[in-house]
Formats: sequence, structure tokens, C-alpha cells
Amino acid sequence: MSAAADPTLRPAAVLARVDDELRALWSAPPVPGATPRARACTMNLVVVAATPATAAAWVPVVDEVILSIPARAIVVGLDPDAPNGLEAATSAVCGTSEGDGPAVCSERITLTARGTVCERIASCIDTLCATDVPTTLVWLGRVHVEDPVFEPLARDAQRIVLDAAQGSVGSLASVVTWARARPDWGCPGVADLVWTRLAPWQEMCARMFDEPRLRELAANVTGVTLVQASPAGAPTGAEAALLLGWLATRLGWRAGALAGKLRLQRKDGASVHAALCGDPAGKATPNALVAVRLEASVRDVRLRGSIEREKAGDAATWRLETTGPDGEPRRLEQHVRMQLSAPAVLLERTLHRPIRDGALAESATWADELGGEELACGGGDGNVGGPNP
Amino acid sequence: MAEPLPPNPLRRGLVEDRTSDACAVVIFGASGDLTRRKLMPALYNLAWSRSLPGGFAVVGVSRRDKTDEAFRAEMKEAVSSFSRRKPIDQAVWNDFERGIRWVRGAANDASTYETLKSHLEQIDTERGTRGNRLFYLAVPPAEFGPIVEGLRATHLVAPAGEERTGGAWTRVVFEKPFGHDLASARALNDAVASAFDESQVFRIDHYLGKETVQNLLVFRFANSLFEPIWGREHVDHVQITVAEDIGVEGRGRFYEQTGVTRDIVENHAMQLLCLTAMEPPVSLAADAVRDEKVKVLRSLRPMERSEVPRNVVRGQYGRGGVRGEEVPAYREEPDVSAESRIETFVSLRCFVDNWRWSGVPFYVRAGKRLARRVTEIAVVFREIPHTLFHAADGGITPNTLAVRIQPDEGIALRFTSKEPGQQTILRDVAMDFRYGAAFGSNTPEAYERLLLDAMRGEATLFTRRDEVEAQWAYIDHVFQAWAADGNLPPPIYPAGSWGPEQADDMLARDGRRWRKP
Repeated sequence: MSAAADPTLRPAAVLARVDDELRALWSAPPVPGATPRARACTMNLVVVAATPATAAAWVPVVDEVILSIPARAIVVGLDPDAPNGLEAATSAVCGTSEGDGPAVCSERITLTARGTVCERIASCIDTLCATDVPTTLVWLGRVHVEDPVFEPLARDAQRIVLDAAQGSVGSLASVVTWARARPDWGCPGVADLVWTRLAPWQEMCARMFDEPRLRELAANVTGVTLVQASPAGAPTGAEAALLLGWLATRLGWRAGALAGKLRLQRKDGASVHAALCGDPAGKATPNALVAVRLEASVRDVRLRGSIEREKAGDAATWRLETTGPDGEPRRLEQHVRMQLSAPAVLLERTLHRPIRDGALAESATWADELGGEELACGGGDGNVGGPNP
Repeated sequence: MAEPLPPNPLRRGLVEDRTSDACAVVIFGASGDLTRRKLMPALYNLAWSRSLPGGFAVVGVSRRDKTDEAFRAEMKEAVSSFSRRKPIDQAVWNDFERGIRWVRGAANDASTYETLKSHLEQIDTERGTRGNRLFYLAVPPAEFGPIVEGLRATHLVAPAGEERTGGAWTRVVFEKPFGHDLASARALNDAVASAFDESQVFRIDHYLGKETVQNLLVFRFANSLFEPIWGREHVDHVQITVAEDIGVEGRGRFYEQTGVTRDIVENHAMQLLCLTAMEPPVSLAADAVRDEKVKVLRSLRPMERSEVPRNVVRGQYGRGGVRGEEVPAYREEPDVSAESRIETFVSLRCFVDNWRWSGVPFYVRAGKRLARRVTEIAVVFREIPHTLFHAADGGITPNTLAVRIQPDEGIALRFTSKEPGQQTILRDVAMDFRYGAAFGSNTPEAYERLLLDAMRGEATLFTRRDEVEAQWAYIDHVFQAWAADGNLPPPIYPAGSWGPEQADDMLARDGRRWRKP
């Protein structure tokens, strides 16, 4: 069911019509023989995009997510430079019924705000949110904490989901700082789609040090190489920056600079060689992480670990080569699903994570503090520092 | 004393991925149905979701002679058929199957364990499993003792607690039934204790791995609404139903030795009763939760022999119709005696004699070939003290909170409401929360959760020695009374019904009736 777009209507009239349409979705008696439908709602999922086109592109993503996490979804596209107007459409998004039971349905409302309506869109969204369920705000694009759309929505949300790949690590860090400054009772959790995408990378990095005899090596990392899908010399992407921030905050590295080049120092004062390489031949999303390599040594034990995203498919190969006192290398290799390419899967996983994530806050802040310091690439061939496949 | 192993700093704050240490899972009885239908699909799903560690292997042990390749092919077919994730992900499978091995051997043959030991040492080198082993005994209880002894004699059991200082760990999982009465359960526990510390022992009750069962603790102790009315002041009685519409499904020989009381009530139903009746634990640590469950079991009023006929009803299904199909009587099933006296239905009237539940009956029933498949706990509240409203059907139905374990996992609260209109007409309505609707239906299988917990050494969802023995101690009174009465033939109930009339009479004597869930 869809309301005819009518930009000449005032927002209040549009919202009243949306209310009527939502009511009508559930009050109409089922057509004889049709599958009965049941409405379910566990959250308000408010998705705000910087343009109507971006919002339209996210509608199928949101539909997929609310099939598994029943919600009232409100997808909003902003066009502040257009003539004033508000358009709205409502729809029930239903899964297939199981057995004799009803099909479980979510509600999706799409809004397009134009001109000065954009400044007041938060009050429209507030009116449309279901009561007594938490609200998640997904903000697609750059974010400023004082943005008159962002701030009131963020204030009312239990969770804010950003995308540092579309915005920046800096804006992610500023939202983290803003959220921390809120009183405890109104402090929203901050999540990020890039951060969720890094979860398998983080787990695979952690695996390298799980073995008791290798545990000590975590404090003795000597080199880290990050390879991202970009031409040589490109700036550090959000994935690489956040992963480096995560490694640094977990392992106690401090960042410094020497002649404009980033220098990392371990707790014991030794330096960690950090490199960023571009892999222009990669087919991954621009600036996405395509490989991580770690080297560590202490006394007569050495470790070289690598995680290489496979060219085809949403998977990676994890390798670990260790050499002990006997000098004999031991190699382990494992194929690991990443599962996070599809935007709907990524958003769903993000929504399933705990609301508060201290590691994200620490990592984003650390990465943001790097400022303009850049990582140097040791050669740009994407094969530096890792064990032989 | 060795220093405790420092934690892996990169694991700090990892919130999403729950993995175990590197390890080899050794399945005794690997040619059985449990391995095909449950264990291997669960392990594959754990691999799919990145919950298995970097170093991992599965070793199947059974009498049959087969190659690693043949076992892998069988397991691939099993995973394709029974995994909740279909189709099989070839890349994940390719990696997973590299760690699958087969060892031929019998439980009572010492050479089995020597062969197994050398295989495991080789796997440690090739797969990085670091000497960590999870032994899974998917075998009849008669084989528990020989296997435990074989593992001990071959030094395949690492001392408990070594992992805290960087050493290898060994854990053992036992499938139910754990004994067939108190004496046999104690004997088994003694045999197990000769080789394993209790902290290494994981007795599986797969009901505890079900999401809804785990949610009972959350429901009770994370909501302030229900706990104040969870007791004798407000609860009239509790009904626990574990009903199946299927028969013995080719397991006649097993069922003839078991019966529904041993198969379902002694373990699953007792666990549901414990989780319903227990006091809040001081924490969610394994022993804190299990301590509270044991207190419930010890508070169960023992049944004197003379009280059993009044408080326990047996039944056995006769011919009847289930889901529109005509089905045979139990005694007509394959491998079942034509004069069998085994019960396929039982209902019990139990009392938890403690401060909270004094005088509140817990009615428990379990059976096969009942009207429908349903497992639920229904808490029926007291009637209102005084009625203002005239109800046409003679009264206002008490509020009921029903926790459905399967199918359609969820929670429903039944209450009375006014029907819209000029007259005051009362109607029962239900607030119905369904897990599938709220959280999606692709939740992990119980065995996924339980296998991962065992690999991680988390024992909260497993039963402890004293818990198992307390369960048997209570149920043994019933068996003893039946035996003393000459094990009379149980009343026959038609397949597709809700059990024998005597079960209805048991509640009717208390002025109550069974729910039709």
C-alpha cells in the first residue's frame, strides 16, 4: 500500500495520512483464503540518508533486515536544496508464514524531505516511531554532531549506527565523544558498519596468539602490514585505520611521528614497523582491507601470520607460521568465511551486537588522533611481510 | 606452582565471535544417528559461523571399518541433509573436512585407545590442536565405563586445571541416559570420577541448550514483573508438558528398556521443573546455577510407596489416529513385546517443599503418541478472591503464563478482557510473544550451543553429578512402588489423545484439569 506522493501537502497532513495507512494495514479483515498476517515490532529502525537516491538504494536492504528483525523502519532521504516538501509511503514487509501460522510483518515508511522540511524532519520521525520499543538510528553519510537532523534523532536513539567508509573515522570519533558526554541514562551506544566488517579480521588476528606458547608474542609484535584496495599512495581507508587502532589499543602501542611518517612504539619502547600497501588489482570495495600481516618474535620463537581476502567470494585464508627453538617451522592454514559483504547482513550483524562497545570507542579515538600521519608502504606489491602461502 | 597463563590481549573486548581453544573432538559411537543428525551438522554450523578455533579436528571412533574419505563423504551427506544451513558451503566444508578422521575400534579393546592416541598426536602436529581433547560419548551407557577406563589407562586424560597455566585440557561429554536408576547412576559417576575431575565432566541434557529454556532464567530474573508473584501466594499450580505425537520410531528395543519416565521425565522434565522453581542464583556461574537446581531437587517431597498410585499415572498407547493417520499400538511396534508393560505416558503430581512453593502442586506429564507435539511450562495463577462480573460460563478463568519450549517457542499470558459492546461480556485473550517473530527463526540448534560450551569449558547448561543423582533419587521412589505392585500393565490410551483418563482424574481430584496446549 502506498500513499500517492504529494509534495504540496504540509508535513502534518502527510503524517496524518501515514498514520491512517499504518492503521489500515492491520485493520482490514484478511481476504478469504489469504495468509493471515501478524504485525511484529522489536525496534524503530530509522535510516537517514544524505540523498533520496541513497535512501532508495537502502530500501531493499532495510526490507531484508526487518524480515529477520521485526521493526518499524523509517527510511528517510534528505534533499535540502530542493523546493520544500515531504513525501511519504507506507508498506508492510512480510515474511513467509511457517505452517499454519500467520506471516510475520514489519512496517516500512519511506520519507523524502526537501528544502527546509529537512531541518524539521526529526520531529516528523519522532511522531512516526512506535512507542515502548528502542530506536536505532542508522546514519548514512558524513555526520556532524550539531547537525539539526542528526542531533535530536541521536539524542532519542538507544543506538547510533554510522558508516565510517561513507563518513570518516574523524566523524565516528566525534560521535563517540558526543555520546560519552551524554548522561548515563541517555547515552546511546555507537556502532559502525566498518567496525562490524572488521569483526572477522579481529578474530583471525586474535587467533594468531591463542596458543599458550605464542601468547607472549602478542606483546612482542615487530611489524604489521595492512593492504587495502586502493592505488599506491592512497590515504589510509577507514577499515585499515580502525583495525590499526584496534591492534594499537589492545596491544598498548603509542603513535608518534618521525619526519611526517607514522611510528608505533610498544609498551617496552621497541618500535613496531607499520606499513600500508595499496592493491589496485583487488576487486574489493575501494579502500576495503584485503590483507593483514603480523610479525612477532621473542627470544627464539618467531611468528608470521597473515589473513588474505580471497579474490572471489566473501572469504579469507588465514595462515600462521611459527618457528620454535628447534628451528622447525610449523604452518597452519584455514579458510574462513567473512560473510559480511552484503549490506543487509552487515546491518543485521551490527544490530545483533551488544549496544556498548568500548573497543570501538577506544579504536576510533586512537585512529582519529593519528590526524594526518600516514603509514608508509614498504613496496606496494601486497606481499610484504607475510608467510609464504 | 606454574604461573597462570596471561589472557590473549586481542581477545579483550571481542564481542561478537565466541570461539573455543584449539581442540580435537573425539566422538565415540560415530557411526550412530546422533553423529549424523545432530553432532556433525552442529559442528559444521559452528565452522560456518566462525565459532571453531583455528586448530580443529573431529575424530570418529566406532567398530566399523572405513577410511577417512568414506567417513567424510558420509558426514558431508549428513550435513547436507540435517544442517539448518542449506545448501552446504563448499569452501567451509572443504576446510572443515580436512580435520575429519576415522579410527576403528571397540570400547572394550585396549588397542583402540593406543591407536586413537597416536592419531591424536599426529593431529596435534598437523592441525594445531595442542593436545586439547573433547571426548564425546554418543554410546549406550554400558560403554561409558570401558571408554573412561580406556582413556585413563592410555593417559589420554590431562589433569584438571592444567589449561589455566598453559597446559592441555581434556573434557568428556556423556549423552543421556546417565544410568537407569540411582544405583547405576552412582556407579557410573564413580567410574567417571576415577578418571576425570567433575570439572571435566559434561553430562548433556539437550533441552538445556534450547534457547527458550535458557530464556527461562532471563525471563524470571531480568524482569521485575514476574518474580514477586512467582510463588505460593499467587500461583495455584504449575503444569509441565512434554508431549510427542510420534511413536517409538524404530527404537522399540531401546524403549522396552527405558520407558518415558527414564527417557523424558528423569532428565528433561525435571530440569524444566528446576528452572521454574529455583531461587535466583548468586551469579550465572555454572555452580551457582546448579546449586539452586539441586536445592529444588532436594526439596521435592519424596513419594511413599503407598502414595505413588495417587500421584503417578502410567499409560501405554493403543491404536489410534494422529494427524489423520491411523497408527499402531505400542505393543504392535517392531521390537516391542506383545505383552509389554512399559509406560509410554506418565503424569506426576509433585510438591516442592520449600518456603516459596509450599502446597503448590507441580503436575508433570510426558508421553508418546499424544494429540500433538508440544513442550511447555504453564504457570496457572490463583483465582481472583471476589468476582464483580457475571461470567456466562460460570466463572472467570485464572490467568496463565505459558512458556512454550517447542514448537513455536514463545511466551503467552492469558487474561480476561471485556468484549467490545453495550454489555459486559468477558473473554479470555492472550498476549502472545513468539520468538520466531521477534528474533527470526534461524536460531542455533541446542547441540551447537552445548558443543561450543563444552569446548569452552562452560558447564552451566550441563548437569552436575549431585543433580543427576538427586533426579534419580526422586524418580526411583516411583520405580520401586511400581515394582512392589508387581509392575501392573499400564492403562491403554488411544494414540492421538492426551493420555489415559486416570491422568485427568488425578487433577480432577484436586479440582483442576490439564491444559490442552
